[in-house]
Amino acid sequence: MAQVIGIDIGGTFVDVVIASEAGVRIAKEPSTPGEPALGVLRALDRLIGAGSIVPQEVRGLAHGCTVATNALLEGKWARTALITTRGFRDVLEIGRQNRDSLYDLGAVRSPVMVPRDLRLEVTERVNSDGEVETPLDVAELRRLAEALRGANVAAVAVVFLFSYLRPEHERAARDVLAGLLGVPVVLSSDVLPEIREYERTSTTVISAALRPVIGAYLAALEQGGAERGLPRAWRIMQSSGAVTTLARAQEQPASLLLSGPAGGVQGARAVGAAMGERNLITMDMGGTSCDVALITDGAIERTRSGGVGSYPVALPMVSVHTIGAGGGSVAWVDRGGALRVGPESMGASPGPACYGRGGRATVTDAHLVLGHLVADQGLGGLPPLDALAARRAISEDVGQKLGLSVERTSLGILEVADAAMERAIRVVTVERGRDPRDYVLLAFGGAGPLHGASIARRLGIRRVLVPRTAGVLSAFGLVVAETGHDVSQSVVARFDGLDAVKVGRTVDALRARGAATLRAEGIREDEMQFHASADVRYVGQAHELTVPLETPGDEVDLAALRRAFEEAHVARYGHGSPSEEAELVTLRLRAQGPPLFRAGKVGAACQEKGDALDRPHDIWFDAAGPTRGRVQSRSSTVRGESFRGPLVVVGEDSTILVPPGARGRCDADGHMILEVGRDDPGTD
Amino acid sequence: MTQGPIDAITLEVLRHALAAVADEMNADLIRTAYSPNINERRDCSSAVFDPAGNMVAQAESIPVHLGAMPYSVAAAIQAAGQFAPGDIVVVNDPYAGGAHLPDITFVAPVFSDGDLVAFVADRAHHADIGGKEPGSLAGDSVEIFQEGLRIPPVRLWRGGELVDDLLSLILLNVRTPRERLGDLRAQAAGCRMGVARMEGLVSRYGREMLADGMDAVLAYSERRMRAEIEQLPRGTFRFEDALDGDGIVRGEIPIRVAIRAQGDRLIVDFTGSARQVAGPVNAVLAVTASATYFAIRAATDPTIPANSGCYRPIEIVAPLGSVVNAVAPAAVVGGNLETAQRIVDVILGALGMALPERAIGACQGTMNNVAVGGTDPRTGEAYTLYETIGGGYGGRAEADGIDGVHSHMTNTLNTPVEALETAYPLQVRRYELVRGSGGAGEHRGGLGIRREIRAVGHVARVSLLTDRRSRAPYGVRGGGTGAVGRNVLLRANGQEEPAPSKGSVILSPGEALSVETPGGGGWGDPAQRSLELIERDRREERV
Repeated sequence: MAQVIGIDIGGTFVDVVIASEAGVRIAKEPSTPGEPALGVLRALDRLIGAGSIVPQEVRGLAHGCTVATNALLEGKWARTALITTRGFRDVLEIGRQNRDSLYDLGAVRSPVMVPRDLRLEVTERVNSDGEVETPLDVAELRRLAEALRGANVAAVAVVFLFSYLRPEHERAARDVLAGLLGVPVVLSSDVLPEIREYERTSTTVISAALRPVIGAYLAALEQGGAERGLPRAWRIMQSSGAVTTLARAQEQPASLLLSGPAGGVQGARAVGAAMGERNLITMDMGGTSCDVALITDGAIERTRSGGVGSYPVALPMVSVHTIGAGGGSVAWVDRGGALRVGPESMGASPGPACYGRGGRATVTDAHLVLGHLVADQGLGGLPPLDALAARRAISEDVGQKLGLSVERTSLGILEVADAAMERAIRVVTVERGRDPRDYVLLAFGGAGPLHGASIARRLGIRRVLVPRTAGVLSAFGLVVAETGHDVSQSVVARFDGLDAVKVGRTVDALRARGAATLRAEGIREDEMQFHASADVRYVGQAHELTVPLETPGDEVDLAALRRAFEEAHVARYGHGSPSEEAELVTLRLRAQGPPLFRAGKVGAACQEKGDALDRPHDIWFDAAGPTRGRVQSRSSTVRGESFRGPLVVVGEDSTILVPPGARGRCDADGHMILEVGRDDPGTD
Repeated sequence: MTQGPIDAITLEVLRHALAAVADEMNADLIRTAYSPNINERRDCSSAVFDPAGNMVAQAESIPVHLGAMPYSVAAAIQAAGQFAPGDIVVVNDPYAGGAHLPDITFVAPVFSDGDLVAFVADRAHHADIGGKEPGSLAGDSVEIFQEGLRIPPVRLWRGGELVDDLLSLILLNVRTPRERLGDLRAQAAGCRMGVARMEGLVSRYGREMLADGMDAVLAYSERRMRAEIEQLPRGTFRFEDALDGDGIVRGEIPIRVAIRAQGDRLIVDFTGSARQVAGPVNAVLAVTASATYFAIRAATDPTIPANSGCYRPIEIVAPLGSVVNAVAPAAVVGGNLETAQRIVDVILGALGMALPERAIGACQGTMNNVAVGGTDPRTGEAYTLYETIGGGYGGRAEADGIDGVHSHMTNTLNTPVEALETAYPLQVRRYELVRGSGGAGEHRGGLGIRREIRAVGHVARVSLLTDRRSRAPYGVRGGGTGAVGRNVLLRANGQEEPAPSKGSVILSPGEALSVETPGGGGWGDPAQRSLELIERDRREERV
């Protein structure tokens, strides 16, 4: 039976999803921090050895890769030169001239990816109409290239002003530089032909400087896979939530920076879609942090003003907001006498106090004290938890300082953690003009399903979903993601002088580019889909709105575009004005092909591991004392049959807390649906 | 630890809940505002107050609004008499709770069963509020009447009904009425969201607990600030610096401060600072307070929640009629742009004497306000570009000062060169670090920026409101001063002419203005600088 494999790398585990006609199997293998390719190949070895993966049946492999992100965060990029228009070599360093922390007098700027002596200026200038004002001085460029020869650079980025209007100078520079230096030369007009020089420079430099790093990693994967009889048809998850081929990923490493989180959100979208839920707030809570993303009307909300650390990347990425609250977040009493949770985390090592490795009191310890976790049911393959160590840490670190019992302190720790998460989620939704009450909360990650119900109640959300594959949702997202590419072209022109035919030609060119990329990936013409859109703003605004661009019969309907913009503006900002002059800034096109695996039969063959567990259990929800409920293993929750809180459901890699008053059931795929009722008094 | 009726857990939960209201108001204001100055540069803030007008939580994205809104709420309470549900009071008069005229503050009461339980407020910088120059930032005003429309605390909404007459009056006096209307509506929407969210907190926690919680949050910040002050060394620490001038009357404008910790109180005394001046660099007390709070917050513990409790232990002595506590009708628009930076410089200077290990070289000490206006030859339409430019950060114990960055009271973004040239008949010729502009030191000061803007095909009028063109940013612990900034007019024939620090110049087609911003002051003896850093600076052409 044909198989599709999804492989995601976390700090502790390599998560593997094996999808076939029969359904989805999941496996967790230990990861090898520092040597990610080795971890992936070892996991494949074990699963091939166990007969779970049959190499000759494998039709495709999809991978969520953290190598680009880590290289950027750890400063392990290749030595790279940057060539700019004369007068502008410091754009990369000055950035937007703002600082990251307002009050920290000791703050330093993150290392600039290209040191100043490798940022070289050349005489040339294109103006804002796309006209050459000063031709490229080729002789001068040759002298620069000669000088660079001894500088030992592994890549060169070229960014000239207004190159999105006229790429000729950058292309001519590439011809000179590539010939003389023999290293990859990356052009901003290829990476991101869009207005705003700093964001374009940053994105281009990241792509150039990570190319050698990513290239080596992906080659090791492909080669190692081939040696094991696996096909070379690897797909890599991009920040946008769509997958691409190895070749393309290697060309554009800047598009891989959210490869990991994008898989999780894509998995959440697929599970939500299968359950008929189109508005989801996804909450992926792990050991150190909680990632929140929004899916609205079935579409993942994306941003183009994201980045990693302080390095902006103006490519489309899943809009993920990270909150510093996880199971390992430390509880402490500050100098003002307030109970605080985080931002410090015990992480995986030493981990919470209950791991018995000398950790301090954490959110996880509070759950254990209150019976939300069950000591003899270790977390995700870990040994049994040390309840005494948890009690002792909470008492000594926090309880005694506040004069409160261990249970009251534990309840307080969770209350504070929930309040912080509620605050963050409220701001994330309000910023985007959304009301959390219109959404369903999808909780995953090791700690997400413990907090799902209480967070939902705080936000006035009625329903919580806990997917069957909660612990490996990112790996699942890899196999159900479409193959896709986002291409763009800035034009910047007012509507009143806009020529529909010219716009149409630009869209056609984008479509041809997208189709060529898909064709190279083996996608058939009849499977290709194209979605055009346009960034539009009122003249004078600094920010654009992206609105769909209809191209019926290959004609661009500018009037419809203008109307769509007005509607989007009213929806987003609460006002709009058809009489005011607007301008088209950038044309965009998403080209996509089908996913490796079509979801639908997700749970049919989900492994049901572990002994059936079902026994009475005392669970604390408030200071009045414990409530007598039950603890069950997830495999004992019978499909279709409803259950009521208080209840603790122990899954393979996460534990679900069902509070009193909440009802739940498992659907045919094994996804859990909790109806938690409304706690929020409402604000309307 | 005892905290009255509120325990350590409820304290933290309610602190988050109140902060969430301010955060949400500000997010909503930014999202729905019309002008880029608010929705892009985020020149706005939002806050929650108790019924007595104590600020219990604030969301702000630039420090210039820090702790200033209690003055507006106090003015609103005093002027409004009896509040009713649905009222929204607006104010911008610096002499009645405002800062400078472009900053308009909205204040709305929150009721529960007929009783006042809280206030919410938001403040935004409007791109124009009338007056003699587009953008309302004239560098040569000599009285507030030239700076724009003054709005005392008055109701713009009464019982939920818009007071149309007042709105018409406001819109008639500004250059871009439609944009103003959009921004005013966004501020009202922010307040309404705040009122609704506060009503939600009343239902969730009850009036008693919410009132006790607000007291506890104030007491908490106060406790933490007092603990910080108690750790400061005893004694009086004095520092003096000056603004270059006011652009009208020749001569430096000294600002002097004496800081002393008494028990758990901190007294910040500006006695001896210049009398208020003719030009527009006078600061009202709310601005001086913001700058003072910023400097103390940055130098002590920035994680203390910013609320009125945090500021209770800080006593500001600012003589009435001085440049740090101006009285009407002094011109004030540059008070919270330029003077605020110098106030931070003197306080950090004095605190650096008290805590030598935390001393920091002066940052560039100016926002380099540049406004360019004219008629776009391509469209025949009038335009105004307003920019601020970063510069050198001071050297610190930890590291060199950052090169080319905004410091202290501002943090607004630049306009991308490509966006600027597309939108305006201007061309940016250089945007680069100024080599050698950082003050020498074991950790040198950061470099200033050179930004050269040329008029293309038309005559442009530039107004400048800048400082540190003659008095250099100081170094500390043996570090050298940063380079002063320079404003230079570049004639079409390449000839250079000096341009004023404050005032206007005309650019003919092809002529350019080059602004070189100041470098930061150095930290420590330059002889102690590591060879590695010296070599890097030489290799990277930073010195």
